[in-house]
Amino acid sequence: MSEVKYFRPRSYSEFTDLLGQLPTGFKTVAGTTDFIPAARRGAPYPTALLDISKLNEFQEIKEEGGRILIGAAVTMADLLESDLIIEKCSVLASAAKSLGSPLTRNRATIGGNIANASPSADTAPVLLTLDADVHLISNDGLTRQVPLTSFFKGYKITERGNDEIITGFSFTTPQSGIWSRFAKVGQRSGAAISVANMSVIIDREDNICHDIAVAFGAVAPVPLRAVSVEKAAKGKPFDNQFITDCCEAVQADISPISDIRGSADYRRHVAANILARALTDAFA
Amino acid sequence: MSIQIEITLNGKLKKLEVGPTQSLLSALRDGAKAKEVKDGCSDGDCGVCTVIMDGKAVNSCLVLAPSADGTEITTLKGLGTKENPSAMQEAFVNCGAIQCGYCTAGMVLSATAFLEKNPSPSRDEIREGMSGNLCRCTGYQKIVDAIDSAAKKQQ
Ligand SMILES: Cc1cc2nc3c(=O)[nH]c(=O)nc-3n(C[C@H](O)[C@H](O)[C@H](O)COP(=O)(O)OP(=O)(O)OC[C@H]3O[C@@H](n4cnc5c(N)ncnc54)[C@H](O)[C@@H]3O)c2cc1C
Repeated sequence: MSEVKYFRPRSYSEFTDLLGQLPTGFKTVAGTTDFIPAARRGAPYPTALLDISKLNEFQEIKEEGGRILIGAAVTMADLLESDLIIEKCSVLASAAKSLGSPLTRNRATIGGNIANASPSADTAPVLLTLDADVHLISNDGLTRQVPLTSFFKGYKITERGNDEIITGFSFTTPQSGIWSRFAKVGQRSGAAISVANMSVIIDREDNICHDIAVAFGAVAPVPLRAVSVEKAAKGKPFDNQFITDCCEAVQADISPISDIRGSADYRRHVAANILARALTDAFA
Repeated sequence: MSIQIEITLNGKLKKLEVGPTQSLLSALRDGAKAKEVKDGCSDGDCGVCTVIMDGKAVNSCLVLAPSADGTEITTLKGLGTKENPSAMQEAFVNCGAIQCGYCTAGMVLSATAFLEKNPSPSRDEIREGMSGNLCRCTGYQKIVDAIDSAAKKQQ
């Protein structure tokens, strides 16, 4: 344990200089709100820690050329206090606000939330519905961007290689006038891991659902886009049949398990209920 | 690997030798002998170990000590003394917001950072703002009273 090396670059050039020197088996850390509890439960320590929490470049939230860019070390507190996010992407602010307590939110980063790849990660469904790209850099300096929709591969398995660091996320700025919601069902606000969570973005006019993106978390081994729901809803007029069809479709998209937080059956009900409520409100 | 860090602890510069995976909580208690920082669950759930780091309330058990290098940290002792308590400390005493006292240090620090952000909160906002700090004695009512009265006094 005392053999663990620790690196904390303070500028982007220090970071890139460091990349080549990182030993195999290094791990990136930011807020350490997942890393420390996991280590306490016996997760083996890595050979080295790359602490990105003090890198200004990774703490930026900005809009460029019609896209919003969010650095990996941006915290939940940063997101829910950002005017840009509140004005142009309130659904992400609302997910950030739901994560943990203020103490956790002051540390928990968006990069850590996605890299940790818990099925219940609260920012995951939102970033999925925004069609976000994950920006990666490897320790040989190569960068690439992966759509989040193909990032989660299996329970806690992602497309990210062991030598790759998430540098941030980007997505097209949502159009003004779209309707969006993040919903979360948990046992206690303040420290509740989601029993089910959901993000919905709808482009509607009068009674017609022109376009829709729906994603769920905690109801399958990975956070996922509800493609059957989207197919059932796209182009359709809103009525009771619309709700019934969508709630039926969601059952094909999800594959929940029973655990200490809730049974599979309960999760199926909850997923349908939060979806039905969102759709009803969207067209109210 | 032993790492030298420098923090400003309650206004005083402090040099500490820490390990790469040591928590800030342990560095404060064992390294800096700041025993006013309490250890509860060590897992980020209870808020007992709360300190204010660069203006933000955090669970010191979930911060890596080397990551705190260069930061300003306030513990309960940095807020006030017995003779000269801060408004929040005084409000906790006056409102009877303390029973066994174990959560108190974290509560007062969280509440202090919270009022900095939101100087005139509603009672619901106080509850939300304090949701990371657990108390098993008071039922929270008096804690909310204390924060509410400190807020009103500040105005
Ligand atoms: C009390 C408590 C309540 C919580 N409540 C919630 C909740 O309601 N909802 C929720 O979703 N989560 C919750 N969490 C979990 C956690 O806070 C979040 O997942 C958080 O966003 C993780 O970010 P971090 O910066 O702390 O990650 P870290 O702990 O620093 O890292 C987590 C993992 O991701 C890797 N990693 C981090 N950053 C990068 C990067 N840039 N590139 C590559 N790998 C990286 C690390 O190696 C590690 O494996 C809670 C945690 C606690 C302690």
